[in-house]
Amino acid sequence: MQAKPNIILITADSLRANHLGCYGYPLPTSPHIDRLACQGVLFEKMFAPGIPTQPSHTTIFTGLHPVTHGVVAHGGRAKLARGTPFLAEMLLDEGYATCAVDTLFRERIWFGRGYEYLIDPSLHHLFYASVTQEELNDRAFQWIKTVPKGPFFMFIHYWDVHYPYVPPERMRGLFYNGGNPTDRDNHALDEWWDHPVGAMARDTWLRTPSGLITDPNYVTALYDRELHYLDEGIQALEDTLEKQGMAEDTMIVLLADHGESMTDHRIFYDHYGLYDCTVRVPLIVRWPGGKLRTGTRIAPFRQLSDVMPTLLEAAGVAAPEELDGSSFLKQLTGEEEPSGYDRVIGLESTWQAKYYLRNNRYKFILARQPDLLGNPDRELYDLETDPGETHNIAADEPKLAAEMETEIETWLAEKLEATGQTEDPVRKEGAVAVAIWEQHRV
Amino acid sequence: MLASIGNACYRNKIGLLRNMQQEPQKKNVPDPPATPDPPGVPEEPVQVIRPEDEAIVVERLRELGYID
Repeated sequence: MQAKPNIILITADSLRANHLGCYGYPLPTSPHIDRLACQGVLFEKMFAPGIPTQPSHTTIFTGLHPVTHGVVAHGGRAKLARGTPFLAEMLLDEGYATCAVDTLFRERIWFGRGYEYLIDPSLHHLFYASVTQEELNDRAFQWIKTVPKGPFFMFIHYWDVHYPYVPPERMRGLFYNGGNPTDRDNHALDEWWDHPVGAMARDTWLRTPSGLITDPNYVTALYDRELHYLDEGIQALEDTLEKQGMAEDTMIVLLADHGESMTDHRIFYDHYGLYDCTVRVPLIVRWPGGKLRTGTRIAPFRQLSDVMPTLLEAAGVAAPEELDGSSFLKQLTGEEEPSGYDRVIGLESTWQAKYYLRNNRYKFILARQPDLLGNPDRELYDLETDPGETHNIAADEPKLAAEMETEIETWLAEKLEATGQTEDPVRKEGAVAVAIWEQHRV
Repeated sequence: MLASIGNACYRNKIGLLRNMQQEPQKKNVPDPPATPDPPGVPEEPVQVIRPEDEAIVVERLRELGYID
């Protein structure tokens, strides 16, 4: 057995937790991932403190909350400070061979930090998110088979469940309960066409020779088929590790940077809005040689900022001081009982400029500017009676709403002071995609 | 809706053909198809993403600052 484990960190971009069987989805979308969860440890309440892709991944690799590292928006102006410790860089310094099969470094340069090997099969596509798990796995497996002796760290970023949802032809017929996908009388998606991402979908991947796809149930089925396809890729990765004799010594961490709103909250097949469908993410760890308490489901709140310190501890590397996250490694092995946070505070600054506070009972959402959907600037949901977050009780419970708002503002003020900032980064960036879109509309 | 109307028409046509077959004086009546389409299930559409579609996606997302 190796002294230090290999680590494969997998992001399934836009993977909504409750579309996985192991998170309660009734359709068999993910048999292999479900088995992975049974052989490892699953986190029930893992939350993204920042969405979407760029803020969330910056948190995953730095162990810092977006307010701390400053990258609060996808496509925003903020850059990660060069001196900020970065997971791949730290592992490289400790003798790990490092490889990313990913495209993010093309968007923001810091995502390439610390990788000796950067492999980007998406270069074969005009749009990087069209890259398939098979293309990524093909390159990843080649690297795994030739990796020098010693521990390695590999990051694989799958895009299959990110739009456009165009699953392989062989998935046809799965997860759709009938109906007419191109019914011209179905107007359930009409509102989506007013959003630029919806208009883009209407003009491209939803347009077929049989007509425009108009049935949201069919679009959801396409998402589920993409997930089923990704699930096959995860199995192929496991098989490769097994064949190479590496499975025992390899820690696999499968997570998502954010979830996906299907039609929930009038947000169509996209990843904005601070509702649980988007900010609660799956996280599963399997490590046969790590003596994990297999089959465990960890219930307390955890955040994606905990991933970096956990992986460092697994690699025997001291975590930087002043991280926002903390390691959960000993909870995986049973050396410590499951524990976590009483609450999670998170944000987005891309299609909306908002904060959320989530505790076991309530979710409070605070807007810094009006959103495109005309939602009130304060939303409060009782998750015990309303897990779908459909009935805003902020006006009915003004005292509780005010308390939770104060909790956010107090936390933010302390965070800004601790990091030497004078301005709320979400106010500073605003909803950057909206601002850019409006410039183009003028 | 169109599909169900189509299937209703199809069923009426089959019924008519069967009635006609019972009349011996009528000749040259074709047999009904051996494997009729299953009722009420429209074909699933075939998604075709052409390079120009992908170019539109890139152009629109670039306009939104999503990609550089």
